[in-house]
Amino acid sequence: MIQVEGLTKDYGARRAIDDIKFHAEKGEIVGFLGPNGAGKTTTMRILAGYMPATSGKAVVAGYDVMEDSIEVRRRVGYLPESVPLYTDMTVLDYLKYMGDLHGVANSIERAEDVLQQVDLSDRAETYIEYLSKGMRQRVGLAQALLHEPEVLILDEPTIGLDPAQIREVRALIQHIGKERTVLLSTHILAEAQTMCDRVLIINKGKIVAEDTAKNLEARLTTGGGRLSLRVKSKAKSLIPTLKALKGITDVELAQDGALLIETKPGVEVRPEVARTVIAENCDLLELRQHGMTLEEIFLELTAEPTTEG
Amino acid sequence: MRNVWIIARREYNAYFNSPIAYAMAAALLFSIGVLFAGDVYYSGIYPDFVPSVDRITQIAVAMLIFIMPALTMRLISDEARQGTLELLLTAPVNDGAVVVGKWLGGVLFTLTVLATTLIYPIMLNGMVQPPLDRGLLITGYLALVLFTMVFTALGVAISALFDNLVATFIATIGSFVALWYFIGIPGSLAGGAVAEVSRYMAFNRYFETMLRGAIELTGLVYYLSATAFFLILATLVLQSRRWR
Ligand SMILES: Nc1ncnc2c1ncn2[C@@H]1O[C@H](COP(=O)(O)OP(=O)(O)OP(=O)(O)O)[C@@H](O)[C@H]1O
Ligand SMILES: [Mg+2]
Repeated sequence: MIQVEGLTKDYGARRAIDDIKFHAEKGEIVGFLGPNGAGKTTTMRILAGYMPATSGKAVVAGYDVMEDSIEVRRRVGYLPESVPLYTDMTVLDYLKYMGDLHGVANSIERAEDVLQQVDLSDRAETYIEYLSKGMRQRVGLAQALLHEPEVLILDEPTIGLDPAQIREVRALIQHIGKERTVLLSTHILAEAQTMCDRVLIINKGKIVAEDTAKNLEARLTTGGGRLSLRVKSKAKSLIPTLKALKGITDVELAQDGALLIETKPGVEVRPEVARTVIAENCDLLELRQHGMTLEEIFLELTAEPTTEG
Repeated sequence: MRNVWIIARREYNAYFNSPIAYAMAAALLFSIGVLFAGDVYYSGIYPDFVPSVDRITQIAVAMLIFIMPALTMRLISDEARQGTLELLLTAPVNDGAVVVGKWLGGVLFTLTVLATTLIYPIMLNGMVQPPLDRGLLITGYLALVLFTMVFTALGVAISALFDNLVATFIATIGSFVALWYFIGIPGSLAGGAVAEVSRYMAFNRYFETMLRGAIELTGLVYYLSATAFFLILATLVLQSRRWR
């Protein structure tokens, strides 16, 4: 459904994406994970037919994005990052307008359908100007679904939503992704892992890793882990005992009174740590595995080839 | 074609939600109204003075030069500023259809405003004896329609150039004034080829003839081809945005 090869885009002298190659099949949700300025939006804009690439080739839904841009646009539902909307229109008028532009028959009924899907039916007559950020996000998503596109390109679809809405939108996207191809971008590792079948990790315009969500998780947990432990009192006295445990490489007292525990790769030490704390007669308040920052993930995922080569 | 109409309709309706559009319509009606009242008052004092239609069309065009930029500036600039241009440019619509749709919406709104000014000639018709010359009225308003078509097309092209409404407004007024008042000046000063071209290019010369009741074929062709030229230019500018 999406075939990208050697895709490169320069903004003046700045190279935003560099020789990108990937593919996405029907029924697959592919995540673009990367930090700010990685080139996620740039890639998605090219695939949505918004702007041409400097070089390379991209085929979406069977059509070349440069040569048959209009045909591609007919088959792609696109949610731009900034969620632009005509604020001077009501939700329903807006969706009808976008539906008409996409050649949707019965655009009003279709607009009502997608509003139901994103749970906004009660706001159909509200001017978009007066919607909250999360509601606008959902109107944007509704717009992308209007013409039942084969391919959905969603640039940070859950940003600005509250936790309940995030869950709903994720469920909606996963439902849609069963029969369609979804390409979505995010900064959040956990989001990429829970929603996507496959994750492409992009940094500084290059794809640095590509794997299934499952493999990715395995690759990440083989690296060393970090725990933070909070006890009611006597934190310092625990350090020597914890250090002696198998699988723990280092223990430090952080400024806020928590203990930071470094562990060996792939070893689960949490049960043992908890038992130790209890045995030492300390009151356990919190024991938490630290998520990795995106920077750490890149280091982790890109370390192997460089140490070998 | 269908897309042109869809975009034009949304654009036309959007004007009715915009305070600027109402202000501009009011300014046009008011200024013509003041002049009209003055003429009627004058004719009461000096029976030799007969108010006429071309006075109304003349003030209308002078006002439009300054009012239309406020109407055309938003057509593309505002979408660029708000980011909605990204929606339009990723919809399955030709860039040309986007431009023509925007242009048509703008033209139709301006013509709606102009149509309301018809109340003055209609009132005048009831006051003067013999009644107004219908032919003059028709060619006068036809001239205004042609004017609206050309200058809206230019307005769209300039609107595609900038993301900033103020920049668009100033550039549009500047080019309207240049095209209307200055392009014919060399033609009225000197002779030779340059003067010939400048005379041919002077929009206001053809306009004047139409106000006097005559329709020149050259004038008609010139207005229509200038409209087409500006629409093509606007399409190219819009296309070039994709490369930025
Ligand atoms: N219109 C533009 N003109 C010039 N440079 C641009 C433009 N858009 C993006 N860039 C540059 O291209 C690079 C990639 O930007 P892009 O917006 O694709 O990143 P991103 O991965 O979407 O980041 P974010 O997570 O912040 O949305 C950045 O260095 C950015 O400064
Ligand atoms: Mg982005």
